[in-house]
Formats: sequence, C-alpha cells, structure tokens
Amino acid sequence: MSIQIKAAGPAAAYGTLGLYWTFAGHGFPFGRDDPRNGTSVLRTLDPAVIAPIFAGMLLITAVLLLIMHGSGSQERHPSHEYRSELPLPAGHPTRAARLAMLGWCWAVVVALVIVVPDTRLLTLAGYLPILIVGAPFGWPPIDYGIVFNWQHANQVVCLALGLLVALAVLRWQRRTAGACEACGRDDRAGGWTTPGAAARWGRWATGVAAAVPAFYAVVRLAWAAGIPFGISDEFLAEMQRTGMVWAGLGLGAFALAGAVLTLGLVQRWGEVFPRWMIGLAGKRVPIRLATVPATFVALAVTAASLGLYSEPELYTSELSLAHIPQLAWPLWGAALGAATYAYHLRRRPACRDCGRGLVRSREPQAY
Amino acid sequence: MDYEYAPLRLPSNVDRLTAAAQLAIQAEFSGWELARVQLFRDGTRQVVLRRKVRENPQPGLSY
Repeated sequence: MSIQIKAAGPAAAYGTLGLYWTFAGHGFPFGRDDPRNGTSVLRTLDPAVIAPIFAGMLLITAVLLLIMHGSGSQERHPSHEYRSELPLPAGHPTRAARLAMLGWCWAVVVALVIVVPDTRLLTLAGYLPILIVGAPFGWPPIDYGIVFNWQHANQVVCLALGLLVALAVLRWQRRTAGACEACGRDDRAGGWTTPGAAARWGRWATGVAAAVPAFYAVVRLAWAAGIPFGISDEFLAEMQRTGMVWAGLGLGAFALAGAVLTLGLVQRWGEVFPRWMIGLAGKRVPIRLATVPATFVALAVTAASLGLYSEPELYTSELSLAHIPQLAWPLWGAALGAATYAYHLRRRPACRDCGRGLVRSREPQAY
Repeated sequence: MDYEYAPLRLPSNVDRLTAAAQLAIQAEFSGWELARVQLFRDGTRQVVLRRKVRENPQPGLSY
C-alpha cells in the first residue's frame, strides 16, 4: 500500500467526522465554541462556517492523495522534466495540474500542522513528562480531564494527520520531479542540500535557534539575581516576595538546557555520544533522536507564535525586554526547523533506494 | 476586565511542591491564576484563584 493511500484513509475519515460536526451542529473542537481558545488563531470563527470548510478541505485532500497514488510513473525520469519542453510520459499530470495539487496539499498541511494547533500543544508537551512519571503515584493530584480533553486530542490528531499528508505529498512531489522518492536526491550535483553546504548554513541556523532561548534564560536568571531586566523595580520586588523569581529561574534553566541541546546539532557530541555518558560513550547518536524532538518543538513554537501575533493586545502593549524572547518565537521556530533539516542533510547516509549520497562506514542504523 | 473568583483550600498535608504543581496546572490549562494565599497556623492554605470572565463556558476548577 502506498503512503498516499495510507494518508488518504485518515484524511477521509477525519473529513467525514467534519461532515458530522457540520450537520450535527455540535462537537467541532476548534473556533468560537472551544472554551480555552485564547491563543488560537481560529478563536473568533463560527463552527457553523468553519466545520464545513474543514470537512471539505480534508475530503478534497483525500481525493487528491488517491489521484497521486495512481499518477506519476514509478520509473525514474530525467530531472529536467518539469523545466524543459519535453513531452510528459503517459500517466503524468500536466505541469499546471501538478503545481495546483502540490499547492493545495501543502496549504492543507500548513493548516493542519501550524494553524490548528496553538500554545496548548506546547504547554501539553512541557507538562507531559511530569504527568506521565507522576501518574502511577497520583501526583500531582489533579483532574486529568482538564489536561487530556477533546480539544487537545484534536490538536494532536491534526498535527499527526498533517505530518502524514506531508510525507505522502513530499514523496509524490519527488517522484514527479524525477528525484529519488525516498531521499529527494536527483542527478544534479551540488546545491544547498549537499552535506558541505548544509554544514555551512546549518551553523547559522543553529546559532539563531540557540540564541532565542538563551536570551530568554538570561532575562529570567537576571531577575533571580536581583537585576530588573526589562521590568520595574516594584515588579521585581513583588516577584521576590511571592517567590515567583524562583519559578522564573526554573524556566530559565530549562530554556538554557534547550539552547545547549540545540547546539548539539552542529557539535561533535551531537554525532557521537560523549565520554561521560557511560554505556553510550563512543556510539553514534541516531539521527532521529535529534530530528524528531527538534522538529516537534520547531512546529509547536511556530504554531504558538501564529496565535501570539494574532492577538490585538500585542500591538497596543508597551514593548520591553521581558517580551522580546516571546516575540522572537517565529524566528526561533524557523531557525530550529532549518537547523534540524541541515543536521539531517549533513548526517544522512547514502540512500538505500537509489544509492546516491556519501557512503560512510557503520551505516546500517544511521537513523 | 471582569474576573471570576474561586476559593480553594489546600490541607496541611499538601506539601509545597505538590501545591505548586497543582496550581500551575490549574493556571496553564484552566486559566486560573493566584489572587490571594493565606497560610494558617495549622498549615492549611486558603487560596483564592481568579480568571478573566469570557463569553463562552470555560472548564471549571477541578476540585
């Protein structure tokens, strides 16, 4: 079964659920009826309008995925196919149709992955480790219903569905462009995706992606040290009185750890486990150990920043150093995404399907 | 801005860390923030939480 079919099924199923929400008139998890929608871009939308659009969007995507499954020959084509005036092989979409299908599907992916999820997805990811570890002991004693609810579940489903559709569309895009479906490499040499090029631009992206959380950490650590960075003296005094500076210190330390881990995308210890990690020392770091969590954070941060920039209060409130790290969220998301992609390009082994790429020793478990 | 208020009593056997985690989750997922805390001689904490009133129904305090 092709990946396009695998993605079409869930897209059609979720689209059908959207039809149910449309005709039943209740249950739609996003928009105006979502009780904690303060950070969602969709917060003002009427479910009566948005539910049918949502359903239609997914059902059309499912049909397009089925068309993709049946079109675009499996054989390899010359990579200049879509840039030349050569006749197209039978079963291939026309250039215009291909562009239209790709444009639609990528727009749906962006909607599912970045527009639908909001800050709650990031918050959920932040609290999940504590909740999972504490659950067997009933700690902290809370009603899990406020954390694991219908709206959060739907955000997770949308993110997963968006990534599945992205994978299916990406493979078809590569296939119809004459590149390797599995790795995207074609017969053209050079370009920005070579390991050497990725190492160069990846360094810049990683620097920016580490700088944003590091700056956040510096501001919070300064407060804990009694320096009113970007806030009034009275506010600092109040935070010291209530113990809030310690919460800030904890969050700052967390951000600093994130910044250091980000640097691993260009450091030696991001490729081979360092000496002090007993049991793992000297072993290769699996590529996905870095790329999976980093991609999730990059997407969740980008999704959260859309909600942030859609708040009217943002444009009327006074700008201070305390707010700048949050305003830099879109930059952080984009830089972390780019840095992660560069790490993947730099470290990926030769392709198992097409054999292109650098052949290194000890490759079998690269991912 | 209108606020709604909810009182919450934390018994004396609830330690500081547990109380902090409990209140953090109420704040993050239900929008409740601390308005006032009173610590009594017997170790009980009387907490008053508040949040902005909005048009659509929001999840309540979970206990």
